[in-house]
Amino acid sequence: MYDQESACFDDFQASLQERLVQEQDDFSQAQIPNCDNNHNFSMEEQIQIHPDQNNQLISTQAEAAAVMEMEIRKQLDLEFQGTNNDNSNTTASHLIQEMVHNSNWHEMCSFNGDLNQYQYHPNITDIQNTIPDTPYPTTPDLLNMFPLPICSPSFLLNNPDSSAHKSSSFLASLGFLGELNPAVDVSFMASSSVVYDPLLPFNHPPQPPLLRELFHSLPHQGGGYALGIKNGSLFGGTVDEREHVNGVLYQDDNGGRHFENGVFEFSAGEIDCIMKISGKETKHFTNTEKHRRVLFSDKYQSLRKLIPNPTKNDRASIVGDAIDYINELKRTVNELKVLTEKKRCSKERLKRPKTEEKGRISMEGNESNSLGEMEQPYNNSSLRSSWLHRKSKNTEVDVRIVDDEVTVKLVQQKRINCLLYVSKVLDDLQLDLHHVAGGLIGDCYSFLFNSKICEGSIVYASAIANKLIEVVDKQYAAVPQTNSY
Amino acid sequence: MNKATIITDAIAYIEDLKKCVEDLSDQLLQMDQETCVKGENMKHGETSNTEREMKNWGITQPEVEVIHVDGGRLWIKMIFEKKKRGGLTKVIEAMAMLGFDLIDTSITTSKGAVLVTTFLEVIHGGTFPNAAQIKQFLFKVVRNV
Repeated sequence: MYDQESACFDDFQASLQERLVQEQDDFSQAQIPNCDNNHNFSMEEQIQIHPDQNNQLISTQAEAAAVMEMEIRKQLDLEFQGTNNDNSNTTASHLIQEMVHNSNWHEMCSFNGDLNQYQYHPNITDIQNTIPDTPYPTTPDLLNMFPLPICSPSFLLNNPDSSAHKSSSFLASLGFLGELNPAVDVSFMASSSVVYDPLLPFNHPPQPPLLRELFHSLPHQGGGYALGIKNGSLFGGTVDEREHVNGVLYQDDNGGRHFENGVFEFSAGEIDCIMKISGKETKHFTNTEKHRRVLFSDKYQSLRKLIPNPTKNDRASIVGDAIDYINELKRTVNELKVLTEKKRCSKERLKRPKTEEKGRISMEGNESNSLGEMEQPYNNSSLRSSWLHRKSKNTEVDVRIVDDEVTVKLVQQKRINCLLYVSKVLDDLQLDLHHVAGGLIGDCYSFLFNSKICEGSIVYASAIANKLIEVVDKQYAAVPQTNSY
Repeated sequence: MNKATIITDAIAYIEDLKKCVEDLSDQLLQMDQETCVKGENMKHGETSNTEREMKNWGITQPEVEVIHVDGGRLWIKMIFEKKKRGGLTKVIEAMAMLGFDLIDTSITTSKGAVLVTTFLEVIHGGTFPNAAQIKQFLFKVVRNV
């Protein structure tokens, strides 16, 4: 693998040299946006990096090539970082310095008189990785030094199918330098073909759309997130850019929150093992985690609001109440459907000749004669039944309807005699009271009402329950709490 | 189906069901408004039957009993015939107007005959009830039911 890489690196270097030869004058103006603002980064000073110019287009291939080179260096360094929390930029700078120092970079630099700016400080202090300070005879050796499956863009161009395991993720990130091939493999674990277009401005205005495209094209949002993170580190030149990238990530991650936790964590793990570039990236990660949790709890709260009798505020009881409420709503819907069906049948029935009608009515009228009711055509089709239970602060109402009988259980917790009001309400609802039982039990009033629905009434369970609770609560509010005993 | 989608789906389903309930109840209301006129024919048939039943049982006229139990408690028993639809409510209303606290009550209807058994307690500091007066009062009420 490394041989291939080194071979490609050779090619890359050659192409780079060509480009350098072509465009010497603008080389000093090369945009190296991935150089961060680390003050320790002496190279930055030497190269006269202008963060403000990051948004300028790179007009030459040489500039882009140089940037690519820088990217690769950065990537290498980032790989080396591992779980190192130190500011990678320092190491990156040193690493790049080391690489440059040891490589024949100077050879490339010599093409341009202005390239002397690129003679980096030999002040290689603490390089945290074990890069032997050997001269860089050939590219293969240098690459062999670093156990990194880094590939250069030209490598991508030449061998799109043989990218290394890990490098595929880097490839994709490198691809942000140029136009992203929509054929980028979404899994990040397979080879991906990224077309490197050196002419394309690799600066950040085009990147967010590319990022978004990539996100949208990915089934694993977590993977995209990983990509973004890497990209953030890759282009962590200026603080602004990083924030911009992170902002993009954040926006896109909004869409990702719905994805499997597993996916998210997978990508998180991958991110963590590959790079902890700086505190900024990890903080961003915890921010999205927190954001995800906040969104989650918001959903639970909105579910709770839909439920009429929420009990406790913990998630389990919210879900339990939601289940009960959904079942209740389903029962109500069924009940209403049966009612409308009955109503429609009765309407048709009423259109028949009147004599026949009278006979039926008299039979219906006899409350005790259930047989008469059985003869009604519509009764045979469906037995209406529903049940619901409602609670308010002081009152519990349980309404059960079977066919045309309504049973209401009422528990009133505040010693307010609601018998009369309830009876009135039931009358208003066209319910014929047949049985009432109940009384004072301790401090509660408890009643059981048995009533019959009058013929033709369209009352249904939830209407009864709601009305009852409303009335009783009104009474409670109206009566002063001076039942002193 | 992860947790987030379950919650989201639940929210959507609840709202959907609520909408269904509203639509159906509106529909039902509309249908009811069209047919409400025809429902009034029913009451006439009821009364004739119940009278027959009462005769079968030997209940000729309403019965009211009011008895004092020790302290300020009343025990009321009523048997009458329920004719109209809102009859029971009227009785309950009457009992409430007596000004007593309801301890417990039992109202049973069977084939048009109503048995009311109520236990009332005098409100603290209220006047001591006159059983005879109460009996008369209730008798009147029951007759008109």
